[in-house]
Amino acid sequence: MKKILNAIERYPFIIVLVIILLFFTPYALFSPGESRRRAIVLAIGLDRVDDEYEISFLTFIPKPNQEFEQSNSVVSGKGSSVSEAVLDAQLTLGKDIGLSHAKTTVVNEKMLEEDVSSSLDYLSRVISLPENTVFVCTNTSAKELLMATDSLEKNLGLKLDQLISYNANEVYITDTSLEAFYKGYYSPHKSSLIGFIEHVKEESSGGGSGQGSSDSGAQNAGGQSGGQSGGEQAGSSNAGSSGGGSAVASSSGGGSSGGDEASQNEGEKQRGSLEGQSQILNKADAVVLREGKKVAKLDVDNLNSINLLSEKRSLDSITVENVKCECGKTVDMTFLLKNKQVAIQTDFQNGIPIFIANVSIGVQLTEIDTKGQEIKQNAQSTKISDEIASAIEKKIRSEFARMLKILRDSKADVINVYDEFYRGNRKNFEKFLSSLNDKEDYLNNITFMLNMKIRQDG
Amino acid sequence: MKTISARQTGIIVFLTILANKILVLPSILYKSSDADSIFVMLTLFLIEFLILLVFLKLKKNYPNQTFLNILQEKLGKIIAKTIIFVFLVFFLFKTMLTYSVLFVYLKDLVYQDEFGFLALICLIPVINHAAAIGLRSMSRTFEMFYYLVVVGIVFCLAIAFFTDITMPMLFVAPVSSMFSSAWKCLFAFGDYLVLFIFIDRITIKKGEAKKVMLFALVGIIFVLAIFTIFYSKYQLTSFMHNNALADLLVFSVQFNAIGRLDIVAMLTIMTLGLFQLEIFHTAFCDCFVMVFSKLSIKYAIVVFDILFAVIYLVLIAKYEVMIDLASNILPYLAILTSYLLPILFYALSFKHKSEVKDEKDS
Repeated sequence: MKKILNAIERYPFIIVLVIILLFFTPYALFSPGESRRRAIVLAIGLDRVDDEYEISFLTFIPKPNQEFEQSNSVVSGKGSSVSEAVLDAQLTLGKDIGLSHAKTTVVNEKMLEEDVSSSLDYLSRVISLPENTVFVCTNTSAKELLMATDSLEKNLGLKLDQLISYNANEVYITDTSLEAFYKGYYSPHKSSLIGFIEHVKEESSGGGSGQGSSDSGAQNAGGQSGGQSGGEQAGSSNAGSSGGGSAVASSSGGGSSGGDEASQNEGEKQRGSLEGQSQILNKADAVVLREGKKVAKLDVDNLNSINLLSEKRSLDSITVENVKCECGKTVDMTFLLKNKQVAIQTDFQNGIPIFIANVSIGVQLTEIDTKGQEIKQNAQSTKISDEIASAIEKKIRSEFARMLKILRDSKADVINVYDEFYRGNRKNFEKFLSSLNDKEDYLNNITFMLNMKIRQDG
Repeated sequence: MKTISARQTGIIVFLTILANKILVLPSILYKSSDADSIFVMLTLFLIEFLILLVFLKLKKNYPNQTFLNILQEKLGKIIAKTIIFVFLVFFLFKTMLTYSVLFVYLKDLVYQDEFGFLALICLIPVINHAAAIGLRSMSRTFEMFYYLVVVGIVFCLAIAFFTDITMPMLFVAPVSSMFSSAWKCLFAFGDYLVLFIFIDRITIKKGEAKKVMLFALVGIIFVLAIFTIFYSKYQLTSFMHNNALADLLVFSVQFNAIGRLDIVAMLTIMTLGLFQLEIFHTAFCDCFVMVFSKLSIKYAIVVFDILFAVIYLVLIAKYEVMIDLASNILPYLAILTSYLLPILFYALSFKHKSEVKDEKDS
C-alpha cells in the first residue's frame, strides 16, 4: 500500500488517469451503440413537391449477415424548408443523421427551376454534407432514383457515385461534385455543369420478350444474364441477383415509350432496375446551371465538343457519313479521337476578343459501315485521306458550333473562356467587358477560332 | 541544466511555424484578399525571419543567461517582469487559439456532437505532463515524430496534385485588403518568440545557427506550399474550406471512390496540434515561473488549467468568438510581442563596450 501511495506521489498523473477512467468507463459501457443513435447516410435526394421540399436519405442499416450484402433503405421527410424536411426525416427514422459518408446528392429538375444553392446551403454549411459528394440531377424524382440506386447496387454491384465518377473522368470537363458546382456558382460567370441521370418509370411490367439486341448487350455489360427474359417475374423479384437480371430485361424492353427510346440511344452505357418498375439510364448527359438554375441540357456530343478543348478527356469518337474510302466506295466511318494536343490562346484584334483553340487530334479508324456493299479493306491499315480528314474536321466544327450556340444562348461559360482571357489579356478583357451593355453576355461578343490538325494515329 | 540541441531547437521552430496557419487561416485570408494572401504570408514570414536572426544574435551574445536575466540586466526588474507577463498572456491566447482550431477540426471529423469537455480532458493532462517533464524530454519526443509529421504533410500536398488544379488568379485584390489580411493573421505569427523564453536551455554551437534557420525555412516553404496548392485546388470556393491541409486530401471525386484518405491528414494534424499546444503551454509556464519566481512549475500548470477553463470554456465558449478575437483584438497584442518587442531585443542584443571589456578581463 505504501509503495502504491509512494508511486502516486511520484507520478501524480496516475490520479488523473484513474479519475478519467472512473468517469468515462461506465459512461462508455452503458451508452447505446452509435449506430442506434445515428443513421449513416450514403446518398441524399432532394425533391420539390408542390410547395414543399422532400428530402430522402439512402441509409445503411447495420445488421449481421453471412452474405456480405449491404442492407440499405430509403427514408424521406417533407417540410416547407430543407431543414424542416431533414427534421421530419429524422423523426421518421428515429435517429440523427450523419452525412460524412454521403457520396451522392441528387436533385430533381424542378429543384433547378430556382437557385438550388439556397436549398443546398443548409446541408453543406450546417449539417456538414461533404463537398466532394457527387452532385447530379434527375428528370423525375430524386427519391425514386435513390431507390433504384439501391437496386442498381444489389443487381449490378455498381454504386451511383462510381458510375458518375466514370463520367467525371471520361466525359465531363469537370468533376460533377458539389465542390465543382460551387466553384462555378461563385465564379464571375456563375455557371456550372452537373451530371444528369435519367430515371425511367415503367408503366407495365410485362411484355419482356420484345426487346432489341442492343438491350441484351447492355445487360451483358452490366454483368447480368442476357439470355434471361423473364418479364413475368419482374413484379415479384426483389433483391436476388437472378431476379434482378430478369427485372432489367423486363424493364428495359417493357414496351413503355421511355424504355424503347432508351434502347435506341447510342450513348446509353449502364442500366439498373427497381423491381422491374424503373431503371436508371446513364447517357452521360449534363445540365448547365447559371446562378444555380438550369439553363440548358447538354448531350454527350455537346460534352465531347467541350472536351475538344481539354487534353485530359479522351473518350471521344466520331462518325463521318458518306465519305469515299480507298476502294472508291461511299461508306460511313467511325473514328476514335486520340492523343489530343490542345493549346488555348487569347488575343484582341481591333478591340475584339478572339479565343483561339489550336487542336491537333490523332484519329484512328475503328469501324466502317459498308451500307451493304462488299468491301475488302483492312480498317487498321486504312490511310486517312485529305477528304476524310476534311470531313472529320467539318463534323467536329459543326458539333463545336452547336455546343457553342447552346452556351451562348444560355450565357453559360462552362468552358472557362472568362478565366482564359483574364489570365492572358486581363486589361483588354476588363476594358472589353466594361464596353458591353450586358456584361454577362460576353460569350456572344467573342470570336472563336478553332484551328484543327487531323493526323492519323495508331 | 538540461539543454536542447540546435536540431531540436530547429524542430520546435518548424512546429511553431505551422501553428494556426494550415487549417483555417487560408480560408479566412481568402475572404479578404483572394489568392494574393500568399504575398501577405510571404511578407510576414520575411519579417519573422528577421526576428529569428535577432534571437540568434541575442543567444550568441548571452549564451547562458535566462531571458529574465537579460531583460533585468538592461531594463530593470519591473519592466523585465512586465514584458514577461505580456508574453505570458500572449502564449495563453496562443494555446487557446491552437486548441480551438484543432478542436473544430476534430469536431468536424470525429466528434460530430460538440463535446468540448471531452476534448479538454483528453488534451489538458497530456500538455500538462509535457510542461512538467521539461523542454528536453519534450524536444526528444518532437525529434522522434518529426519525420512522421513531414511525411504526413508531404503526402497531403502530393495527393492534391493528382486532382484538377489550376494556378489561382493573382494580383486581383486591392492593396488595402492585403493590409486587412495581414492584420487578421498577425496573431497567427510570432512563432520564434518561444525561443526567447527558452533561450537559456538552448545550446547552439558555432556554425549550428544555420541548422535552426534551415528548419525555419522548411516550415515556411511548407506553409506557403499549402497556401498555394490549396488556392490552386479550390480557388473561388477556398473560403468554404476551413481545414486546408485536410481538405487538400479529401475533397476529390476521384479519391472519393477509393475510400477515405483523411486518416493521414487527421494523424498529422493531431500530432502537430498536440506538439504545438505543448510548446505554447510550456512557454506559458516558463513565463509564469519567471514572473512569480517564488512559485514552482506545478503552480504554473494549475493556474494555466484554471485560466484556460475559465477563459476558454466560460468566456469565449465558441470557436467563432475565438477566431473573431484572434483576427480583430489579439493582433494589437501581436504587434507588441511580435514586432515592437523584438526591435527592443535587437537593441539589447548589442553589448556595451564596457560589458565586452569586462568579459574579456574575466
